[in-house]
Amino acid sequence: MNKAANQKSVFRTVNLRKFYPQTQTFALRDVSFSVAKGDFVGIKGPSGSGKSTLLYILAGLLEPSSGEIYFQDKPFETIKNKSLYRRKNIGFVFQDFYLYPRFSVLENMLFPCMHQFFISGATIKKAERQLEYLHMRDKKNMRVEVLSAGERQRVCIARALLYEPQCILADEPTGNLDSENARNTLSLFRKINEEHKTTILLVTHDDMISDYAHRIVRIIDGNLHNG
Amino acid sequence: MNVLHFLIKDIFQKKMRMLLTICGISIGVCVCIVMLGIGESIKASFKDAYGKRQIEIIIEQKDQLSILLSRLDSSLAQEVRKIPAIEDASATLLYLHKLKGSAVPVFGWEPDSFLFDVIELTQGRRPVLGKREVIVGEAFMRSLAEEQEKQIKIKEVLFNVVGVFKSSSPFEQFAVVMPLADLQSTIGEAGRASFINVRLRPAYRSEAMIAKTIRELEGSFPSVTSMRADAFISEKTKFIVMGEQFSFLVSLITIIAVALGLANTMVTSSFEKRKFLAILLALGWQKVEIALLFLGESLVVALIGGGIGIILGFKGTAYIFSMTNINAFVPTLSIIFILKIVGLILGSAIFAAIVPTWITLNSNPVEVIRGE
Repeated sequence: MNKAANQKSVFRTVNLRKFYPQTQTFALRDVSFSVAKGDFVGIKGPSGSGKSTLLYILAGLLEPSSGEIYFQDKPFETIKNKSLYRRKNIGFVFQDFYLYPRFSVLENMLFPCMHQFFISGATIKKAERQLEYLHMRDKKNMRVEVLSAGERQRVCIARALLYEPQCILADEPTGNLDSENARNTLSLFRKINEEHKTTILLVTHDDMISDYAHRIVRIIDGNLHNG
Repeated sequence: MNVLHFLIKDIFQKKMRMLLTICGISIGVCVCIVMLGIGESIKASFKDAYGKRQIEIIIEQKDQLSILLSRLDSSLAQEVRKIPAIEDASATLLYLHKLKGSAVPVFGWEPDSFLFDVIELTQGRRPVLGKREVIVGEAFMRSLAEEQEKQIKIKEVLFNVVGVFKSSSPFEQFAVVMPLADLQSTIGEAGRASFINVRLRPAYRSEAMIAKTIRELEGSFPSVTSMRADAFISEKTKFIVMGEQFSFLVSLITIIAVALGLANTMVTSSFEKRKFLAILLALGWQKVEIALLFLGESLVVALIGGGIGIILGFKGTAYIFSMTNINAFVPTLSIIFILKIVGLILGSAIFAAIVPTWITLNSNPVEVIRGE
């Protein structure tokens, strides 16, 4: 059941298409769907079905071939600076963590803030709060290379939460985790969604997602199917 | 916590590569400084010798190629002083004395010469005429101290060192100074001088007045040449300018090699972390911030290497001067010269940052993240 059905939409797409000329394939075919504020949507589908493409288009990292996208009911093309849009609104979590192995947990969290030149005490405190929230505070000075896969993924989630985004886009976040860590990670997303009201779009192959997401959409050969 | 913390930690993730890159930059900068610094130091020595004493005009023998060969009547200084525009004139005899395989400049100055005003006696007193006494520059004194010598033999005549002076001119730091008449008699050139230093009255120090005074001097003393001190320096350092052109070319090639080496390291580094850079873009970094990240990394490496290179270059210049038999010059690297070198280092760093920035920003972050 969609608990957030009547709430304001965060994302809305209308007849969204993505065509890759190099491979002459459609990754998305007329995808129309809506994600409400506070929603937790699981996107499932076989490999190469177009689910990650949808995520990257919503993040503004890929241009659709045609169709419309709205972010908070604003046409996507009116957002001129997609980098700032991502920084302010989107948190990203990936399958392959992409952490600096020799940096500490805290440094890895703060590295993306390096564009500020001086990282304020307030930002460091905020990062520590997120680590506390994810039960990682005692590991803040540990090098990432000594952490388990599950802990590394939690660092990635903490990094995504640093700017307190409205929406988290997670691309196969449980792909490199065993079932126990996968379950813990999914339950963490659920916790974030419930406590922070953060909208979550989570792409996965994992069937466990149905236990955590408000709803599941499937993408098969670029076509979106509800439920 | 600041950006430098991350940059340095990131740079030294690959310690060996970075150390080798820094070594390459250091050697390159060192070569540039040595190549360009030698000419720079010699010119600075000449300029200091004249500028600090407010010497505007030099009078020397007509059509003589080297100041060492120039000879004129030392009493000419007295005649020159009679010209109203001239505040003072001082005859100087210059002789190169071979000491322990090196050529040491020996100056003969008139006992009351204004040339003494700028040097500062740090030990002892001025030499007295006829007593076979000399004063020596501090650098020269250090070389004497090693041998516990307080006497210098010039043309088989022993001179006592009665004072040590500090000169603002590095040219004089290695020099020996004695009364003019003593040097004249020692080297058998009684009544002769190499050149006459002329200082004008303050009201006559404008460009137009200097030119007018030179015309007046040439009219009154047709057997000698009068020239502006700066033109004299340029003339006497012509060989340096020619050498400098060659040095500049070699330095330019070296700096290009340094920039390419640094760019190679930066490109390798950017390839290694291309996924991480793609993630930064996905997390909301702007293109300009990625460019600044590369620039920062490149600058840190270039400045560390460049800093070491500047120190090595200064030491290298000093070493080369110590190897030559002209002990008159000591390395003087001016702020402007150092700034030029720093400019070249910064230019190399910017060039080295442009290449990986261009590669990163022209790659599709999604393709990089997906590993395509």
